[in-house]
Amino acid sequence: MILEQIRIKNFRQYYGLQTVRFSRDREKNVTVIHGDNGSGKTTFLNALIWGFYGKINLPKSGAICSEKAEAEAIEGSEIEVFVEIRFRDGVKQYTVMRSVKGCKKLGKFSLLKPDLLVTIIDERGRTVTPGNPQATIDEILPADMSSYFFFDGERIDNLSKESGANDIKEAIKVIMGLKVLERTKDHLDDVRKIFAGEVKSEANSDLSRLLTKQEALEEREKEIKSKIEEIKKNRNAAAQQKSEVLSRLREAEETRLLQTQRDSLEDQLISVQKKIKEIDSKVKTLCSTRGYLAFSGPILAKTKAILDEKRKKGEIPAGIKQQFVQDLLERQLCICGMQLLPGSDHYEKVAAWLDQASSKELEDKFTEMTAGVKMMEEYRGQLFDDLRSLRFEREKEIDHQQNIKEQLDEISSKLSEKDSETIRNLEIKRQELDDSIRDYYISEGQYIAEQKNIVEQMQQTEKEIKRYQALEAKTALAKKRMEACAEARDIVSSIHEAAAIKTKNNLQSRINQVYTNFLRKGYLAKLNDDYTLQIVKEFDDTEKSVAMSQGERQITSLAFIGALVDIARDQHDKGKNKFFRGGVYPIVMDSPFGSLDPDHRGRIAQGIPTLSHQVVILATDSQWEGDVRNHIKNRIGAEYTLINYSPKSPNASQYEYTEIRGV
Amino acid sequence: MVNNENETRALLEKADDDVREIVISVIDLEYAKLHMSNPRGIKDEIVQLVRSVIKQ
Repeated sequence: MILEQIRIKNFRQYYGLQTVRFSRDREKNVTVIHGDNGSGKTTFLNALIWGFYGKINLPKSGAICSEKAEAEAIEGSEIEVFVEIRFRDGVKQYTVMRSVKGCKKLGKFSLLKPDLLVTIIDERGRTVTPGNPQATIDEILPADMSSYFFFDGERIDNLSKESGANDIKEAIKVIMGLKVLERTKDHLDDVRKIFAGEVKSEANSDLSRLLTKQEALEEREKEIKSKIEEIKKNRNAAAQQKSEVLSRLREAEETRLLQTQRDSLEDQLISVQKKIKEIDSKVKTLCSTRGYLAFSGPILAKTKAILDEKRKKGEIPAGIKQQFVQDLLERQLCICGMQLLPGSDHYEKVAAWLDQASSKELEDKFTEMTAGVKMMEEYRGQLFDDLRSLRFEREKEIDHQQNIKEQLDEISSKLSEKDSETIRNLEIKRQELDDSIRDYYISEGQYIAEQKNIVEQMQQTEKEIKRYQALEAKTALAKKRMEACAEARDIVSSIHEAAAIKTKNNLQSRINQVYTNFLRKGYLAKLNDDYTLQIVKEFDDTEKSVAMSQGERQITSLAFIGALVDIARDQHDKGKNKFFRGGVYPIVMDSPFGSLDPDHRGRIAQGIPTLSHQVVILATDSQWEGDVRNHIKNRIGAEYTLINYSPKSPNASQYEYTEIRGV
Repeated sequence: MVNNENETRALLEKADDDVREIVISVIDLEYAKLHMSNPRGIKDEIVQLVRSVIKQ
């Protein structure tokens, strides 16, 4: 980030429009703004902070508008307060405009809600207005880091106190990219746990049990198939033997007639059994297509009763149609010749008939329903007639079947009583074969039923297996993701450890480099393992801790910030590291020479220009003149003075205000 | 523990493509959300990211 310009209008003690153009020169990188005590240095620093983050670190933080501007405001008119900061980050130019409007009503001044607008001009000259302007600013210079770049120089010594260790640690983590690595590590571990929850170990044992069950079912089905085949084979063999027995009975003189009769009866029996099946099939079709009619008696009777009642009462069809009444009202003329003016008594009386008259749609539905009920009653009667007829037909065929069976038994008895032993044996054989064939059919039926059941079980088990296999695949995937997260976490953890050590060493070395610009010869600044800053003096290859004065603490803290800015800029310029991206940050210091003795003041003045590529110093005239100016003068790229007007000042004014003038 | 940048790079290069992509993408995501005052749903985003990197 390189600050280009700030425009301040009516912000706190800055009255009217005030502009500062910051130096962007690499050599003359210092912009100095000086003025008397109370002339508005700290307010200037706060204008920057308010412009970027909407916060003010001053007493009466709600008092944003200039007192003078407020006093001069005309009743009912608006006053504009704004801070506009233009800066460059990389190849893009940003303009941040935070503004608020104020209004005086009945002598009382009030402010509306502040507004923030960021406009970006990219490398191709296109203008973009981001939807979330605060997030855009935070991405470049986050609010939580801003206090290291825009600070009160007199308070900065806090960083080198023990109580400042946490602040230092936090700053190092954020600026040097360690915070990102820490969060990455923690979040990857949290996500690893989420995937661990998806890994279900029991899925494996369930799948194994199902696969064993499926195997057993398949084995049993195979056995049944084989049994059915065997039964069919035996049955066919028995049928063949029976056919041979019957042939012999047909050929023998004394049995030919009886056997011929039996053949004919068996043909008839097959025909009768076929007819019975056909009747049963017809009954099934009737029940499935029109069976509901059998249960519709009560509802049809109730519907009919309701319709009859309406008819008897004369409600439907009604004597008067709604359309007829509607026409009378529209024409405003009754059939009796009376005028029907809307709102009149006659009009209301005729209109009341609309409730009693029926609509065409209602009457159509009534007719439709009456016909429907009648038709349903007819269908219902037809259904019972058809069922009765089929039952009668079936009973007749059953009797016929019984009669044939009796005749067949009689023939069998006659053949069994024949004198010829051969004939008797043939008939016995036929009966045995008949029994066997029937037994085979029964047995086959039982196996087929069992086979059907097993096939159903196999289909069900197959479904469960597929479900568990999918679950197992899901589990395997979750495990893979969990392991990847763990590996990624470990890698990030290693990177973090290495980066923390490197950062500390790097910082230590940079602090000393920066520190030599400030401190007396032989003194070194040390960053301890607990991130406290310490000054040590070298005595014959040994280091001795030295107690720090406020000035030394201030110097140490500045050296620390300078080192941070330096490393972040260095890394940003390299631009290739994925884990520490760095950044370019300016430094804006309010009163960095405040409580220092002349010696420290001089050394700080020498070192300050090297802290960052762009330094803005806010100082009192008395601190600035003399040694400090002499040390920095060759690095000054822009200089401004603050002119303060107040009732007490030589430039007497009823209200206090400040103007910024270029030097 | 690794001691320098080269070892870090070697560690990352040695990892599977998927793991490397996860590390780099999650760090990108963390950078994007680092300064948000209330970053929401970052874990859900990482879960989605890991799911999309490791699909089967």
